[in-house]
Amino acid sequence: MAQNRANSMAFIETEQYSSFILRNLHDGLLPGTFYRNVTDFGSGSVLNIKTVGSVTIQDVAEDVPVDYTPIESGNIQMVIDNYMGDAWYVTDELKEDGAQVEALMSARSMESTRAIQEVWETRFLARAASGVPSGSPNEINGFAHLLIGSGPNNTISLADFSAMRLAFDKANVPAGGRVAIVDPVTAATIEQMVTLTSDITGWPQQILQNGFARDHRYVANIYGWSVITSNRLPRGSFSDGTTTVADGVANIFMSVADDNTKPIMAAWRRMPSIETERNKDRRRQEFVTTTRFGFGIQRVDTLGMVVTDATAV
Amino acid sequence: MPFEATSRIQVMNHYGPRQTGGTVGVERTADSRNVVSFELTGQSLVDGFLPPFVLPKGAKITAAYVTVDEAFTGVTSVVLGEGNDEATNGITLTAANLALGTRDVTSSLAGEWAATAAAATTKAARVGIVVNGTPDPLVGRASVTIDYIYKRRDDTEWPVDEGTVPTYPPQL
Repeated sequence: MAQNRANSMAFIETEQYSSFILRNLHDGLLPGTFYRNVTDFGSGSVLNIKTVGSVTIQDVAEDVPVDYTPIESGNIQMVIDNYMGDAWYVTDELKEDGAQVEALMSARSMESTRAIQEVWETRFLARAASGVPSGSPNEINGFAHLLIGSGPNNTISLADFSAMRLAFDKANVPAGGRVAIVDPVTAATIEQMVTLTSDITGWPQQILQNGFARDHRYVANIYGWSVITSNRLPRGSFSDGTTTVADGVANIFMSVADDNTKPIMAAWRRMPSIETERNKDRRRQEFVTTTRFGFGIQRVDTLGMVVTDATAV
Repeated sequence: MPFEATSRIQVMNHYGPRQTGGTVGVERTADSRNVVSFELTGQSLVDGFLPPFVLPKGAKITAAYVTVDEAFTGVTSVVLGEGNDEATNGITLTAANLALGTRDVTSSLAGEWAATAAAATTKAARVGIVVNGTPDPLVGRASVTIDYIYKRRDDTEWPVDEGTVPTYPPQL
């Protein structure tokens, strides 16, 4: 009798293991230029930053004394207010018995680094949103810096980009370096503004074929805004004092033209650093990563927020 | 409002068309006698902003004068004085005081600013302004001068009393 599966079961390895390891997908990270890197905050717990205001101009007449007037000055502060980390270990027994444990440890380490970056960015965006407090339109020079999406069901509309541009213009914000960090839902909303018709022109045809966002960026600027998509924008209930969006997402608009205009400042007190040691009593290798950093709102006239529904397109 | 502290950097910023007025400062004077001078215009009364002039602790005010070059419209009174307590320690200029011409308004000084007061100012105070009425921003120009004597040899009490400083929206 020949050999077949029925009489050779011991040689059939029913469960096999691939050497390929399937990993989680990660959203893109924002560029590191969206905040003022406060390099002069190397020590201490509070950094005081001087500000200067405006002056007044007087009428002058011949042979009449002028008034010697001062300029206003103020002070803002930032503190190191974030301290976080990660810790893990690998036992000797796992190293001895396991397969591809080195790959597992490498993946664990990479996930840790990535997670710290994502927490940092999530808190950065949340801190930015805190600069436009919910409950009022946050007017500057009479124009709101907190808008509710004016499309159907509080979705984004092109008019919102225009209105925020106007608000920034009225707040004396430089025209260059304006960025909007928006939820991908908004790109879907804009994509669906294009309808399929028989005489569709080239521009909407491209949107139909490729979408309105690619590699986390809108394919075109809108009213001067460079638009970046992110999945880490704050979600929750937001209001402009009139309309409340219960499940909203805070799309952040800001000027990053230079360090004077950037609304957010940040300082690293301790860059993420990994320490490792061998625990002989428990026969394992331990890894600890910690980081300390702080965010602060420098100014809010270069900051805006358009709240859109988190799911409606 | 043209002057706003809405950027939350703890100072005023100016937006839109800009006009003269709203100045306050010491003229170049000699000896221990100083003259703090204000220029008030219709627009500056609408703005309600004065630069951060601080009247030192121990200043003894002796006289006040106002010269109106162009009449105001819609003004009930203008109060200049210790910040956040202008009516108590300051000078109230009524509509009659703000009629065209030059006049002695020493008798309008009140509290620690009164020329008749025995004592001098008891705190280093930022000077504030309160405007009553609805000024027409397009008309009105006046100069207010207040004489005071200041000669102290204690250099430790220059810092402004924080209670006299305007409160701006806090940093976020």
